[in-house]
Amino acid sequence: MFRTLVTIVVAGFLAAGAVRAAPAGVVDLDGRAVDPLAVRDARAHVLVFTTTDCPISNRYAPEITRLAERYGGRGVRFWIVYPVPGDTPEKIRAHMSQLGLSLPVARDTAFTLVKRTGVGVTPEVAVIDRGGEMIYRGRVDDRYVDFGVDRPAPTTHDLDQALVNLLAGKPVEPKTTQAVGCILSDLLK
Amino acid sequence: MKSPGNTKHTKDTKIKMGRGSSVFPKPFAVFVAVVFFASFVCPTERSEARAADAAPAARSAAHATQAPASPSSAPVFARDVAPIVFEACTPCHRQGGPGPFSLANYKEVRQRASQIVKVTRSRFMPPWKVDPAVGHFQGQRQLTDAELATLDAWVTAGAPEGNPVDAPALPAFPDGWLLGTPDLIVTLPAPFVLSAEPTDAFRIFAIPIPVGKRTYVRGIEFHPGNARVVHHANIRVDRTETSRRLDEADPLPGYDGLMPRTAEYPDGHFLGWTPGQVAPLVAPELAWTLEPGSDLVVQLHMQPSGAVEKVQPVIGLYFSDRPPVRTPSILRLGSQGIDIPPGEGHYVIRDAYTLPVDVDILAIQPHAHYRAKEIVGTATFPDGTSRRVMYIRDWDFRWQHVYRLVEPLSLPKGTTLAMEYTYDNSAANARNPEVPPARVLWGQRSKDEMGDLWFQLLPKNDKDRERLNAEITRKMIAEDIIGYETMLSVTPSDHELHDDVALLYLGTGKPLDAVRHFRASLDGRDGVAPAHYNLGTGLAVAGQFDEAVKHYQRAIQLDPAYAVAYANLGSVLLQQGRTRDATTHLEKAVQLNPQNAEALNSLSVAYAAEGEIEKALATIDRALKLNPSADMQKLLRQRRDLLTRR
Repeated sequence: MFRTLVTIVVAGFLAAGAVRAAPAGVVDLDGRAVDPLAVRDARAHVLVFTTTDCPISNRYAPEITRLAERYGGRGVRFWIVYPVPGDTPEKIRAHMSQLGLSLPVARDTAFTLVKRTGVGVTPEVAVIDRGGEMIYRGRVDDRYVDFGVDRPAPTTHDLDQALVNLLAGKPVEPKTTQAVGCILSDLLK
Repeated sequence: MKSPGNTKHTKDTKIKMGRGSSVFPKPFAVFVAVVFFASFVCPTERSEARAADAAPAARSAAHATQAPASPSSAPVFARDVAPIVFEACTPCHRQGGPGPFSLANYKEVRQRASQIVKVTRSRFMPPWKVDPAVGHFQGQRQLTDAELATLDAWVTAGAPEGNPVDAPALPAFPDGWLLGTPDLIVTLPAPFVLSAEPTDAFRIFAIPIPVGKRTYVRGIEFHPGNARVVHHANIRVDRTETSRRLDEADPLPGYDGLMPRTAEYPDGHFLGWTPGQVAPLVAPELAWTLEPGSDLVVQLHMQPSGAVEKVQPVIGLYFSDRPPVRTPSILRLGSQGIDIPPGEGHYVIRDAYTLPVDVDILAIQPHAHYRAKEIVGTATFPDGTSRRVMYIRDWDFRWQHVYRLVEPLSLPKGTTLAMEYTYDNSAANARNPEVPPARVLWGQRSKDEMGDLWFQLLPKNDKDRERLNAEITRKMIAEDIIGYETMLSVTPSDHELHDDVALLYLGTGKPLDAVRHFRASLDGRDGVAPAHYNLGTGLAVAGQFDEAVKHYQRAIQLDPAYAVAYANLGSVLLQQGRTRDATTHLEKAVQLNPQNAEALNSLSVAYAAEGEIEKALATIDRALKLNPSADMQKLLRQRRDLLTRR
């Protein structure tokens, strides 16, 4: 059901590919335009899509913090992307403070980044390399199998592995995985 | 001749073991006050009225009329979807409710429309695990196929709003105490701080219930204190100090580990809580008895939220002004010999019990851990017909409901209750906590496996209840012993397990087995006074007095203030006819603990044997002033009469 919906909505973006055009309406918490898709002074950007009220997304905060610390010193910059219009800068600040997140933020209330990357749920991540290519999009790991079905610990660490391969100059495979979380497609209608 | 050992003290004493023999309980701060807080309950659920009359078929029909009659009249929110969502979702998914986001108006529901279809279709939501064909339970919230179809068609049609005036009014969701103002409110002295990870966390709290006299309880209302993370609560009552000492031994609020055996369902009443469940008060005739000095023992299953969270549950108690006239019994079916090989995808356990008396089933609670898949409970009547009383096709450890029947189910004497659980210990079970799969045995930790089907049964009268309880207790203790032996096969040097199972053997008249386990418990712990005390007591009950004396003496040598060891040693010496030595030790025992009526009784026997009748009578009077148990009072009075006549 869900797969079908996302396919319809983001059919043009399913395959990883170029996402170079400047994003419209993407701002930071002070309303200044930002462009997480343009990778300058870094080896890659990781866009972590989230909302302030998605429980699955929230539970990934410690893992995102760990990965951002591990790869921050190696030229990988993490962005937290909030696409839900109701997630105001005040709500976002409170949310990040509660979760102990201190990473750059992009508000994407026009869903530009959502559409460009083709993410369907939160949490879902997109990795953009220096050439502006999206080299990975999908889950952080395989801890969640479905709503109400999750593993006590993940058996694959997909984002971590993608970054390892990227930094080693190896191809990233698979380029996309199926993320489980709060569905974004209804926002786009 | 009475039994020499004060065996009832072994349980209390045991808790000192491994924690040093001089643990001074820290003072317990208890807050008994009206606490103001946001309520995190889902009050209306599916309302009682609806639950009572709504056979699933009837509900299908009701909603079928609202479902689209033809493709041209696609469902709209106001007329078709809101009635479903407001009743099945909004009670929890609202501002201040335990659901993680609000679903209280068109905008909020539309934003989650696809997700609502997905989670309702998979029956993840609303959380209700029992197959609707099984029976009708309080608080049942389950969508019919027609309701699912309406939601699906609505999303397919683009989730239109329709005419807002058609929408039903949002039900009132009263906050605060849904059962009325409690007679007593208890909470933790300080919040427990839960870390941001991992997936499932467990913590046990012993919360004193400050009542000055015997009190009768019609029910409790549990407020989780932090609905984001508290997923369910397993609640028992401990009439001993065992749970309190375990809690005190951990400097933070609560403790990790297991509930002790002394934490029990009080007088046959389940007390658990899951989100959305508020068990109604029982009739005063069925209230349970709360003794002064008891603790509520609350095991919280929490799902960390990703942030550090404070958790401070609040519990309201509701009293009855008179003693109960009927008391339910609790029957537990299940196996504690579970031993599943790695990769085994279809492992089955079964158990059954034939009722010796007529009963009504009031409630059913299944319990298992992550590997259980299918749960079946059946009743086979004396005429050979049978029906399912519990069926969960896809068991989920996270939803540990107590299923209370709307109408009690009457079972005549001779009915057989049976359970059959199926487990999947393969990699195909995503919930399997071991990757790759590993052998799993019975045990109470969540990574172990369990399989229990609990029944709350109401017999017709006290005579029937006593007969039922005697049988059930024997059956359950026999299974408990299997469980301990299973755990000891994994950790053969766990002295606490040896102590626990030894106590069960003592209680079931198998002192030689108790001695075997107390010996194993003492192994490598020669310097631990309670270990010697326990073995001494086992030996004394087994009639091996000479060796018992040696271990009591060693216990006293290690802990010269060990009152109950003096008392039991004195009693054993009395059995051996060594009345002079017995007197000395019993005098020491009552000097150290003047409240021990059993020791005073033994001392009076020793005085009488020494010919000191006046001292014996004075000691009996001292014991009676302590207002001991009815049996002890009777014994003391008989002995006083006997001595006076001399």
